[in-house]
Amino acid sequence: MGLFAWFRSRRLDDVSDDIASHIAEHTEALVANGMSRAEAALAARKAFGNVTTVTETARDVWRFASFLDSLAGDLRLALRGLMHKPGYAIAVVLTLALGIGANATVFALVNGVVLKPLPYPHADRLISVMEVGDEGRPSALVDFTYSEWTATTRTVDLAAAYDEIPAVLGLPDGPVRVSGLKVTSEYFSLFGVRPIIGRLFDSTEVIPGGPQVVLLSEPLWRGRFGADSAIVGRFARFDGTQRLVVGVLPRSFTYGRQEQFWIPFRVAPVRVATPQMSGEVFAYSVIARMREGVSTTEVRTEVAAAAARLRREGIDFVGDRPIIMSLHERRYGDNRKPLLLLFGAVGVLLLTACANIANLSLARAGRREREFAVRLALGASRWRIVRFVLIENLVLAAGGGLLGLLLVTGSLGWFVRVSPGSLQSVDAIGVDAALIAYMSLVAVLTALLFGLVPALTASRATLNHTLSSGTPHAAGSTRQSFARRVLVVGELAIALVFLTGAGLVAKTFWRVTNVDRGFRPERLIVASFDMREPRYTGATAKRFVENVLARVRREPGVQSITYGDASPGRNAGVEVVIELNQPGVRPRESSRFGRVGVGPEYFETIGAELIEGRFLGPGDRLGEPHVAVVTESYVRINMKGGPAVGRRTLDDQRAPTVIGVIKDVAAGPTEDKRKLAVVYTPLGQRWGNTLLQLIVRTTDQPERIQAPIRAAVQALDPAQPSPEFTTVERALAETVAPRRFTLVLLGVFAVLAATLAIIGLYSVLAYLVSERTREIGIRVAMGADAGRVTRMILGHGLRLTIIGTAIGALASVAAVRVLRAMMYEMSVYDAPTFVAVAALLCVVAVLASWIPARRASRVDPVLALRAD
Amino acid sequence: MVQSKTRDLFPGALEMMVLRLVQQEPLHGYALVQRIKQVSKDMLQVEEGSLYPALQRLLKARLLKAAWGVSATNRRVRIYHITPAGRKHLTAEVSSYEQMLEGISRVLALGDA
Repeated sequence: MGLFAWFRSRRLDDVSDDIASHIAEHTEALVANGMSRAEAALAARKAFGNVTTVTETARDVWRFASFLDSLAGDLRLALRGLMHKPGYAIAVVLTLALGIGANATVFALVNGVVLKPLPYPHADRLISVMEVGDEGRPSALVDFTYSEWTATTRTVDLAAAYDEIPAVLGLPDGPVRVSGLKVTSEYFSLFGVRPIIGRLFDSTEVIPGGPQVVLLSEPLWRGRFGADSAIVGRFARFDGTQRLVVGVLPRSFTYGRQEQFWIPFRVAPVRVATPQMSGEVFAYSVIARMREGVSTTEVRTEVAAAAARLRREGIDFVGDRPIIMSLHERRYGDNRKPLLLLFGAVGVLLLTACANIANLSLARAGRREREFAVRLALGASRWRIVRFVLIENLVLAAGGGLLGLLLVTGSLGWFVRVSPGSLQSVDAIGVDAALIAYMSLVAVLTALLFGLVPALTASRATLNHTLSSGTPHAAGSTRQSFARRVLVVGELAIALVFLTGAGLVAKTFWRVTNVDRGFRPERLIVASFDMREPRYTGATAKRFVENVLARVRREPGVQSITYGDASPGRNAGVEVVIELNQPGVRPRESSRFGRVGVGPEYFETIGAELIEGRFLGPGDRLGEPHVAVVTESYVRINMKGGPAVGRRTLDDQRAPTVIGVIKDVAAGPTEDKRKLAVVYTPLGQRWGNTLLQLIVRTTDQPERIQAPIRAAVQALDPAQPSPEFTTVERALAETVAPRRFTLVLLGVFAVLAATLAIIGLYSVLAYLVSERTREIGIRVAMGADAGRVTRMILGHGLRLTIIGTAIGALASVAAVRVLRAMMYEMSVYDAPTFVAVAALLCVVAVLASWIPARRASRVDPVLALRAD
Repeated sequence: MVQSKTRDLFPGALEMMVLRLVQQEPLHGYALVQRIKQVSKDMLQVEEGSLYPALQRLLKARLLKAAWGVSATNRRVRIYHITPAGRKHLTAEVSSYEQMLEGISRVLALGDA
């Protein structure tokens, strides 16, 4: 009990105690005058008058208290009324729980990703500096620009460069692959991070030629070094180099991120730009902290000016279009728009839920008109009745909100797990004060939203009409029926919008999963070898993988085995490379294509389909003429079509000759056909890569081959960590994951919205039938047959459905634009989908109308006319 | 409100009397009724239905304080005390009442002339 309530109840107890003692004193006085005690007690009570009334009147003096009292009374009454008809209460609470729960789940995401600042000091001033690179995408900042800009900047007070670096960590029980960052010393100051043990890099360690040091992340330190605090001052082997461990950075700093260690990034003094410089360009990821009051536009101008100065000096490969974005946007910018859209969608869903509840509530208010009319007649004010209905709704909303909260706590973790993208890395997502406040607000708002119209309608009940008009729901019913029909039409329209969206994504999803991939992904597994260590060159790495292949080939369960520098299961199996025909000339669009180096039996293993010529064979060795297999798209885009076999891949005498053409090999849906233009050359004839993929087709479960591969690696090179395994089917599933997620989400929304709308339609018609039972009875008595009555009610439902569908179709045309990016080789204005979902909704609506229509046709005129 | 045997008293009369009695000595509810009866020589009969709301009004206006105490018959009763504000209020009320009474008397005295 709150302090205030305690004071209030004490005050009220005082009044009744006071009155009790008054009566007792009087009794005592009468007994003293010679009356018997029983008589005296009776007389004293009689003399006092009506104790309850006096107590009430005395209490009423404390007006506010009495206000709260009547509120409590209304609350009790509301609870009792709801418990009396639990069906209504349960329906409303469940609907609201779903609506509010879904809303709050998305709010938690929006709050964590869009609203909360990053957990760093001056997070609002942290920016990421990039420049426009290939295909207009943001790319790292060229080192010349970085040096020139940081040397002259007046817009930022701190800037740091960093770069990702994979490494092999040597441990007593075998090598492991870890990823880290090389960072300049300012990096840690920018994030304000402090080591949990040890220290950060000192000034002697960040200059070129300084000692080899490393900082470990807390998870790496706990997982691989047994959380041994004596690690500081000892050495650890990274890529064969002994590095002194100087400190450990806290877990909170790397939450949801990849990096497990940091080494100093030694930015060499500015290189002299010479005309004959190699094509090698160094570029860094750059973050910086703006000075107070500086805008990103000012930083952009400054970086652009630095780049322009360099270009004037002849260093023309620096980008002239810098991109400055807040660090928050860089990390979560991709999530913002989809999340806000999702937020809008759940908002609309909640509105539908409210409409449905308003519908139920209106029907209920109709049945209770007589009750309210009596209360009005007995002197209740309109406000009192409005208040009562609102209290009832608030009780329901509170129930819905609480249940919704349970739903959120249960579903949030799941939601974050299944959502694609970087949501998983946000630790700020959870149930917190902001979420609770938001849910309370939503609950109150929904209560007002679905309750106000019924409340106002109810309070307008007039005694004469209602009490004199025989049936309890004749008066005011026109007004309410209209409101209810509008609500149902709205619900149907919203349901159609969601259904259309879900239909479009479903169709796209079907197309995407049934795309012709040009190879057979089943039972293919890929082992990725990352051998970017100093001890391997392209040639030795290739030899190593060939040795592993020779061992694994003998294992049972291997149907076919090969290797290459790309696998067909990822990103169309292609890295887009740019071939320069002449130095210094910008590549033409048509000269972009993918190049994959392949080992023997590559095409046979992946199940590629030959269109023309032959696959590569064992004869295509070093010393033989350079040959290549190309894809259909390559022939069409880069060779201008025609028979390709016998021609060179490029207009260049050194280019390989095409000996075969295969169908495009696609990992997933690819709108940009240039990405399917690939040239396959034998790894036996050209420079190898240190990133190699061993590709195995197995006869049974592909996962079974992992252990033999690991054993082969261990036997051949104990210092080599185990490769990463991916089954191609799983990799393919990842390419459709975002669409699958959208489909599931929209599907759930569509089903919910449609269910709500259909329930709404059904309840309106059912109510209509019960309302007009007497009228229908008269019609039947006058000779209308069952078919005619059925048609009348069905027609009513159909009219609402058609209006709702028409409005919904128009709204869909406007709404589906947001799905444009999701579509694959189809327009969002896909007429068959529009027609199909509209037809579906109409059919279901007619079915829902059928039940009340049947009931109406069975009205017995005798019973109907005797009903009241 | 307070009633004589035949007519209603004006609003505020009961409160004024309660304050006056309590100013003399702190009293509980039943004692107040008895005192009014006794002092007015049975000319005034206070209805409990009016007394208790009046007491609550005076409490609310902070003209009275209430405290639990023990009655002459050794019963736990609520005893009302006057507050400084109550004294002030009473003085003001009594003087305005006397003025009104004098005015009324003068008007009524006209008939004798």
